[in-house]
Amino acid sequence: MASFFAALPIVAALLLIGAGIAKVFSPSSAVDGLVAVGLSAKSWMVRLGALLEALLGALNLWTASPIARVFMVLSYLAFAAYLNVARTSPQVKSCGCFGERGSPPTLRQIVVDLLVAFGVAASIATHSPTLSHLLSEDVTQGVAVLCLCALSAWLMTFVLDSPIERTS
Amino acid sequence: MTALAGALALATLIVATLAVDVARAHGQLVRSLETLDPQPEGSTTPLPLIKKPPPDETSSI
Repeated sequence: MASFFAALPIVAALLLIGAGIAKVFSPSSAVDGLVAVGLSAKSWMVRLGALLEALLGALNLWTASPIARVFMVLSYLAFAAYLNVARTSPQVKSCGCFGERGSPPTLRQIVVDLLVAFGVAASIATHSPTLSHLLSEDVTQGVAVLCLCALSAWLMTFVLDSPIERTS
Repeated sequence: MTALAGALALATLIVATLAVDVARAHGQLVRSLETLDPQPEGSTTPLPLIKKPPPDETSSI
């Protein structure tokens, strides 16, 4: 189980970077989603938030600071809370999580966000290493972990985007 | 080595989730296709999910 918590923060950080970059380039879906749940949002606000999101992800790849991890946990909890509100609003066509690729909010996304938040919180307790630490210790192993985590993060976007729950 | 094992386990779990999704999607597709039964002879009920072609297209067939 400890090995699981060693990889999860890296995947969570890569997801933050990917989602942040996607929203920086196409914030319109996120703006529409936030406006639909009653929050006043502008494109520049979403872009700024997305930039901070990506920077938080990058920070978590390079430092094992518990504060950075706590912020990552908080960001995933915030996503889950937003999705929970957005799920009940029929006006929300897309969560805007991954820019234009976002899908309507589902219970699955909330559960995944909460599980990731729990996993990252557990990684603080288990003092799991960061990607930079792994790379400096053993480059081959670090690159292998990075590749597997990048693959996991990419595949996780399909898990989050899955249309199965919406059609069943 | 711990992180590598964790990354492998996580990737496996996600692939398994996606495999379940694909299996469910396949099941839904099969159920949808089962509703497309051939129309019984003499029945005037339109086939489900199939729109009637416009008159100009039917005349050319």
